[in-house]
Amino acid sequence: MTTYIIRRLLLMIPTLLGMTFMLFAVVRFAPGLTTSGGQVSGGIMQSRQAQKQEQQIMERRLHLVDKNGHPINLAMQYFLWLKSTCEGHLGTSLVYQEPVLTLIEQRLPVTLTINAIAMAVIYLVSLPGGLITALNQGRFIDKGYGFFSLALYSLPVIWLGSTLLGFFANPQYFNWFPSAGLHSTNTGNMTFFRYIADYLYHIVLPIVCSVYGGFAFLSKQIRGSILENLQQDYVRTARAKGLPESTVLVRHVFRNSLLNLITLTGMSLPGLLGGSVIIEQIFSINGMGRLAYTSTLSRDLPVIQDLALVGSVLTLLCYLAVDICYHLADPRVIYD
Amino acid sequence: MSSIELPIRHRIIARPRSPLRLALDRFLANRLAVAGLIGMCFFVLACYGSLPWTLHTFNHQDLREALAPPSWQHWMGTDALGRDLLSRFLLGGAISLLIGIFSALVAVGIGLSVGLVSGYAGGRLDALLMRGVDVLYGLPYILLVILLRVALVDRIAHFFNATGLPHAQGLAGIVVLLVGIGGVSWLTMARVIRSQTMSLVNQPFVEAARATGAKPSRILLRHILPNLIGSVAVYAALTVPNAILAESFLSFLGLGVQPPVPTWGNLAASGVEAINPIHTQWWLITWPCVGLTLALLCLNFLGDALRDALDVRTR
Repeated sequence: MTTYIIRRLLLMIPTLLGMTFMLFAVVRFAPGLTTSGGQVSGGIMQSRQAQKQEQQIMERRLHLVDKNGHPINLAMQYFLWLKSTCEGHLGTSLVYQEPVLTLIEQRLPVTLTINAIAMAVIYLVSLPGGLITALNQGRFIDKGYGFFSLALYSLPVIWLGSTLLGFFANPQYFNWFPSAGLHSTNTGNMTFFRYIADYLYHIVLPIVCSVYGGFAFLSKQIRGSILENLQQDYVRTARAKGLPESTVLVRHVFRNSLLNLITLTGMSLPGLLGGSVIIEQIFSINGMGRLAYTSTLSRDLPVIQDLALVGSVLTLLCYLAVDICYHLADPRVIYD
Repeated sequence: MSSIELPIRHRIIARPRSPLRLALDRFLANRLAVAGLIGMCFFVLACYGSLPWTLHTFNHQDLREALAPPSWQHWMGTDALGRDLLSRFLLGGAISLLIGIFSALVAVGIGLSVGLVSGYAGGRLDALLMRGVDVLYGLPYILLVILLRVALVDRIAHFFNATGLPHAQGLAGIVVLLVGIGGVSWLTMARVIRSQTMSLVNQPFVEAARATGAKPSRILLRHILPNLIGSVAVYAALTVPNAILAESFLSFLGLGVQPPVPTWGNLAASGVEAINPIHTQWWLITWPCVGLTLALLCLNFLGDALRDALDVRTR
């Protein structure tokens, strides 16, 4: 097993190189970089000379030109970026003038809270949902649940999000929820629990929006794997030797069905950190998704590249974790 | 294996039926799927049948009629520039469906060929292709579409302008969305096709074909591909609604098709701005979103039923 993990970790290196290089190439081929990409801090108030100087500093920082101002080719640019990243220097944002790590530190907790709560809600509904629909296969409750969850999945989030915002966070209709932001204005004189309650109150609508579409897929997968397990020989054996049906379901069927969930859950873990651009945009939440979106639009190269790097590392680690967990949970699965 | 003698009556009833026929029966037995199919036919007929009319009227402005609520003259009302919302809705639907279908075709084309080659060839080529899929899986797809768009849209618009087409910017947006959304949605498909091809390659009938001296291309096209039709249909059907949804997301972010060319996505996005505390023009957001939701619902029912009908596992 240890050899396997080491081999997988080594295999990650070329994959990571591929990922980062591809993104690097696409970003640098995008037009508008060398002329307008440098968000010159002083804007039009600066003299032309100062602007030019800043542009040069920016270009040198991004390794677009060498010390003498000659352009560097793409492969070399990538190599220089890789070198400084391996030395532990993540970039500094051109727009915010702050290290990328600081930006991530500010935004990650927000996205992570919303996504973790949303994921918990999805599982809390889908697990019993999948179980009940599988046990009542073909009956009204199965069809009704399937219809309802697919119907929810089909609602476009831009519509639901802005409608919720327009009616439930609008003084003219129901002013139940705040329309933007994550805190009330008077957080300073709140007790800790009031603060948490205030925070949760602010993220109700975003969580509703991230949750409602997730039931269909997960419930269907759970239903499918339970149905598959119900037909297995060991279930027949368990029933034949006179075990109560509840024991058969919980110990034999449900536990084996959870194996399939390992893959599904593991694959969705990197998504927890990504954040949804749409939901964060609708509810004006400064999370990871919005950071990635705005920095792509403003060609904030260091941010795009480092976000992609962090994202790819996490994705690959999750894949590895899935395979290891699978082996731990199901000893029949052996990797050579 | 000893055969059991059945009464004559049963032998006549139990005619052998092809797997395709069985799948069709299962599909038609699902009433929701049939409803979805009918709904989709309705949308397609309405949106594409009205093209000769909508192509002329979708950008016709009448400022005296601006922001008129639904009436006999304008069934869905008018927008801020006095354009008839019905014709924009129908043309928008045609373009959204076009984006959905063509993105799915692009995705199927790439996913199927990568999966087939990877699963059949195995070894180094397989490892290389699958690493590539891993690479793309790791990158957030919406970021890729945005980057593709940023990189390509002006060049394509420039090309369209040179050929003298009207609404070059909007058309370029459509092309980029087709390629972009299709180009990032083939990954799951490639993995599924690869694993199925790998198990098919070891089947006796493929070995028999190889023993008779069939070329790899013939084995792939005549022996393996027909066995994959089911999964291809399922994944294609599920990619269409996702692509339509992706279009609406990107339009909401201002990265989709540029107005005046309408799509359900950008109509909904401009309708969102109409929800405000002062005066709500409900028709601007309601119609495109109803269209979007109903079409997605029909397509999802279709795809789900196809999966149930063709996929043995979830039945």
